Amino acid sequence: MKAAAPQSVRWLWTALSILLIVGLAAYVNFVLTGSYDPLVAVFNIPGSAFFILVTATEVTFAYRARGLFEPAEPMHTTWTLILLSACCRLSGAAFTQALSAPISWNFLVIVKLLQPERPQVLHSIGVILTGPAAMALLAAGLMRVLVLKRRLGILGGLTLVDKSFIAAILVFTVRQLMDIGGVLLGNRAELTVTQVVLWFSDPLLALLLIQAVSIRRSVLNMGQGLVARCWGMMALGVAFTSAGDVVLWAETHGFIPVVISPLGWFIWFFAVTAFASAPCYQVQAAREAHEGSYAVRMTHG
Amino acid sequence: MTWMQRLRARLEQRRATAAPAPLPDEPDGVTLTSPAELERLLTVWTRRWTRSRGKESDAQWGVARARVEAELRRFFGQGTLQRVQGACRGAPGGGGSLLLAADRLFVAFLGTRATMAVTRKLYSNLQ
Repeated sequence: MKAAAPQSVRWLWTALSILLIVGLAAYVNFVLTGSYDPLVAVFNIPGSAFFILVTATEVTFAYRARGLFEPAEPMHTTWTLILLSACCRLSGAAFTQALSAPISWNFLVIVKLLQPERPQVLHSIGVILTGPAAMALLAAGLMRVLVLKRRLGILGGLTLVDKSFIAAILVFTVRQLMDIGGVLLGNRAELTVTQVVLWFSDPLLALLLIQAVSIRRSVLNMGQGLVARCWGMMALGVAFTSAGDVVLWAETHGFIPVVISPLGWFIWFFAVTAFASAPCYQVQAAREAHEGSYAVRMTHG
Repeated sequence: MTWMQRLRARLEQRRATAAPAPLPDEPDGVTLTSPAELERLLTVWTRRWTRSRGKESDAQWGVARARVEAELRRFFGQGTLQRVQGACRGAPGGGGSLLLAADRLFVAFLGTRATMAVTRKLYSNLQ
């Protein structure tokens, strides 16, 4: 029997649905009129607010999930890593979505401190925090979960399809490393620190995807328990992040028509909602552990 | 060596080295406030399950086992329950192995405090 989703998760996905309805209305307007203005407004105002608020929710619930475990327990360290990853994403979202953007509700705009050269620097800091920094911490946390699941015998074996998918990810990563090698052998004078740090994003994302495949298989084997769904949501977050990355790559290389490219931007809202839902399930599992009792007295015979 | 084999070895060792009566026969009276008490309670119940003394005791264990399985299903899903049941089926002290396997999962993924709460519920109103 499938347990009901926690109320916090229902709120998160309801908020996402409302944002998607508003966003799709703006997208239809873009298709009909060709004007980007309403679409940009949706992403700049409710979209940015959604990113920051949902990631703040993730930080709050990850902190609570971490508090459920004693410091000596393996999952305490795991949730500490996930909490730090969420903090990186929150601060990164604040830098990229709010502080570096010339929008009316930006605090730096209000106090007139957003000088012309600052947005790029703030944006770079935000991108590094949401990218390699958050990914490295999350990968470390998920690796600990996989090790623990394996130790307890609930990981389950990968299927041929899973292994083929992982092989494809590895081939893609090697291909990207070769591209990086090509850049390093060419003109290195134009390289920036941000670019070099961001090179770690793709290998880290590949590692996260491999972990997500293993976790997905484990969730399929385990069933629909609250703990299984917690890690399933984490894997879903990684999958959406990868999908968003692929869309960005395809958009940059001109593989996606201009008229449908804005639809790909919405993937990031799904990713952030999935990441925030994961600790909600963990907290709900602990809550249900403490709730209720088996009140019916045993009758003999 | 899998964890289930290690668990089986531990159970065998515990059975061989166990003192006759150092533990109380009334685990329901234990107030669970620390991991040590949790371990002590589980040891008592595991021994009772392993010994399987008489029809009345079996009926109690039927209830306890159903509760453990319901909690495993709720937190980890039907697949995990089947996996644990399968692993414990042939184990010596079968029901006791299920109990310990469930406890290991609860402690690992819910934490010791939540596990104590679950265990309090599981063995409430049992004699």
